[in-house]
Amino acid sequence: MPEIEYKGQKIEVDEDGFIQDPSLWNEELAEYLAKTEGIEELTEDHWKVIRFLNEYYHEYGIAPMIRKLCKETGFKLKYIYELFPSGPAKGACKIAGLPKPTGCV
Amino acid sequence: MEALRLGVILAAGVCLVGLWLRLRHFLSLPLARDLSRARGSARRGARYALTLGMMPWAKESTRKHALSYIRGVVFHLGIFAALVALVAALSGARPVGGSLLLAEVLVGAGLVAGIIGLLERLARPDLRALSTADDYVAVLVMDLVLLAALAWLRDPAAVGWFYALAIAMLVYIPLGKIRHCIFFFPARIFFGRHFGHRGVLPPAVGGGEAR
Amino acid sequence: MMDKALEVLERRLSRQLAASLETCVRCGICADSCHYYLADPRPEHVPAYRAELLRRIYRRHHDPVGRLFPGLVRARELDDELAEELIKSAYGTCTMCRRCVLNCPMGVDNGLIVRTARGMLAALGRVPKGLQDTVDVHLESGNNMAVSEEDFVETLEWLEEQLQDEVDDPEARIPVNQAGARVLYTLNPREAKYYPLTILAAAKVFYAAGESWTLSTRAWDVTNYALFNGDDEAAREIAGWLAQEAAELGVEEVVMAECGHGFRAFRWEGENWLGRSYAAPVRGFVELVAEYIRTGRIKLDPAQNPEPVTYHDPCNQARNGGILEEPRYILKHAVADFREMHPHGRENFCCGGGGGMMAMGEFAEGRLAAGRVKAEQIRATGAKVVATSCHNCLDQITELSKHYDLGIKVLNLCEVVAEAIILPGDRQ
Ligand code: SF4
Ligand code: SF4
Repeated sequence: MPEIEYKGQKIEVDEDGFIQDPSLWNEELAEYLAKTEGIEELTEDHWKVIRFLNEYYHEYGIAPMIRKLCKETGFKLKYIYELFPSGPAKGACKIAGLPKPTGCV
Repeated sequence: MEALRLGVILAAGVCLVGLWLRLRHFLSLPLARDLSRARGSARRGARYALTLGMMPWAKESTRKHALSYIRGVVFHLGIFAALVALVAALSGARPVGGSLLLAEVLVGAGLVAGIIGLLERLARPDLRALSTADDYVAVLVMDLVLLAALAWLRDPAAVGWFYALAIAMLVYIPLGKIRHCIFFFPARIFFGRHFGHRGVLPPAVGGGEAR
Repeated sequence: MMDKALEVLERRLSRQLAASLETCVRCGICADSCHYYLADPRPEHVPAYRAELLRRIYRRHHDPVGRLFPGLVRARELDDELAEELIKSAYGTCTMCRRCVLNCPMGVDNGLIVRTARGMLAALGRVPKGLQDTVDVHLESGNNMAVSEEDFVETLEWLEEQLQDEVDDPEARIPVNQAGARVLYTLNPREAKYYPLTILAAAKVFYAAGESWTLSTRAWDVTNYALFNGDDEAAREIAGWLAQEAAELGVEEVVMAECGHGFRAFRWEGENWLGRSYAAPVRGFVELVAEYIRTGRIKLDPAQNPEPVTYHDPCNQARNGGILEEPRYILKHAVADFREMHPHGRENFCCGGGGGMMAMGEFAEGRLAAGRVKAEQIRATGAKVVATSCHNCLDQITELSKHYDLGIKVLNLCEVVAEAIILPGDRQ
């Protein structure tokens, strides 16, 4: 298992960079993960998406549908892809501390 | 000499029985039928696989490695020539004149190609990793048969060597990889039928082509 | 302990498989037909080397010489060590693209051999986790991302509204569970879950063509990852759902969304897994779109796609599925500047993401390294857009673009076509 070193703490991630233990997630870690996805600065809009994903995951144990994400944040689809260039699954979910989804992603 | 001659005939029998046993095992296995709807034609695919599909320009691998391909062809031609020579020797005939020269050239070239093949297998790390002892033995046996055939073509006195090595070869054929001489055909036909059925082969003229 | 794996070998040992196991002469000429070998020319990356691992077991059980003199032909019993090596080889460094098969002078089907090896490992429960999870989720929930029926329906309703906006017609529909529709269409769960723009694009094409089509809420997942984990039982079950739904809805044909392996699995392998023929024929979306263009049911304006575009053939759709001409025909009508990469068509290189590789994170490094071949092919075309016809290829090529700094955009064909479509109302 690869690890990332973050604030002197070693955190296990899988080979695609998804953190292994969602309970270790916090907002500073999200900023760090965002950089690995090529997002230098997390804006308020980024945070809106990230917080929703994280809360939804903790409640239901699964990532929400993109439709719910659009509805809850009020963002248009295309805007979400702009916010997270590597996409909602590999980009946003990873930054929000969700595990890698199954299927074609 | 007569004993060796009989030995060859006996070994040929052993070879045939061995190959028959191999074939029997093969035919005891179920044939996987393809229930999907055809897009192309299995039959045309198989015909292609056995004809134009064998041409050196038909595949990227043989286009890139034309020399290896030619080496293989020369080696196999030499073997066929040596087998013809063996039959001639057994029936007390000897090629003369033009056909002698042709036989010498084919067998001689086949021998050179076979030796290169053996050296290449010893020298290239990827081939070494791929090879079993059988891969070396099979080519070595063939090379020795080619050498003996060449000797016999040049000097009838070498017939004893020719027979002795032919016996070794014939017994070895069903045991090792040389049995691809029979399995080549079903493998190639299955390949052609499979890709023919799916409309992938034979290549159509026009788009979707590699070149 | 290994008995289960050996049983799988015995069960699947057809004449086709045996011919491929018997015929290889270890000439090695297949070596550089494999993108793994090209990117990193190690002996283990020679296609025949992968096949040899299974051949060792085969010889131990089916070759008298292998039984009596195992050393002569490297016959070997399947043990833990060999199983580990098989996992690395059959799952870890082979995308089952079968490019080597086309390049073998003997016709050896290394793809069939690798899938058999995978099936044996599956029987031992040793499929890499990400891949096995995907199959398990599919078996449990009916689709490989556990999208609930409620979420699925809501998403389609939401998309229907967007379609109506897009085509400016309040009557535009995304039909669901319509018995008697002509076409049953399928989706990749990732479309519903994360990337719905391709659903919208396909719906727009159907709308423009005036097609009678439907989706089903009972069986709609185009994928079948059991093609890749090698488990025939699972593959049969998954293929069976769609086959049954098509029969129940009484459609004229099933059309597979742009998903390379899903197309191959259902179009070419499914009936063989099930042991019976389907009620209705199966086509790929690309085949249908090419027909729409040919028969004038949709009209395209190539000027809408002015950037240079190249096409990546998904292995499972082209070399393993026969769809060679249609994508080119479509692109020549849909984009202004189409460029082929070389080689292409049946001889294309795998992008590196096939064989379920995207689901197996543990092999990601090798996957990206082996993708170099595709990256260089793309770069050489100078294209700004890579069109393909598979979500898996799309993701891998997107990653390649990042990794090798290609600066390209990757799209499925439906998106390229939807962009160029002239809607019936706008036609002069
Ligand atoms: S698979 Fe074919 S090309 Fe490769 S080593 Fe075997 S015979 Fe030669
Ligand atoms: S199927 Fe593709 S990836 Fe696998 S060995 Fe053959 S060429 Fe390589």
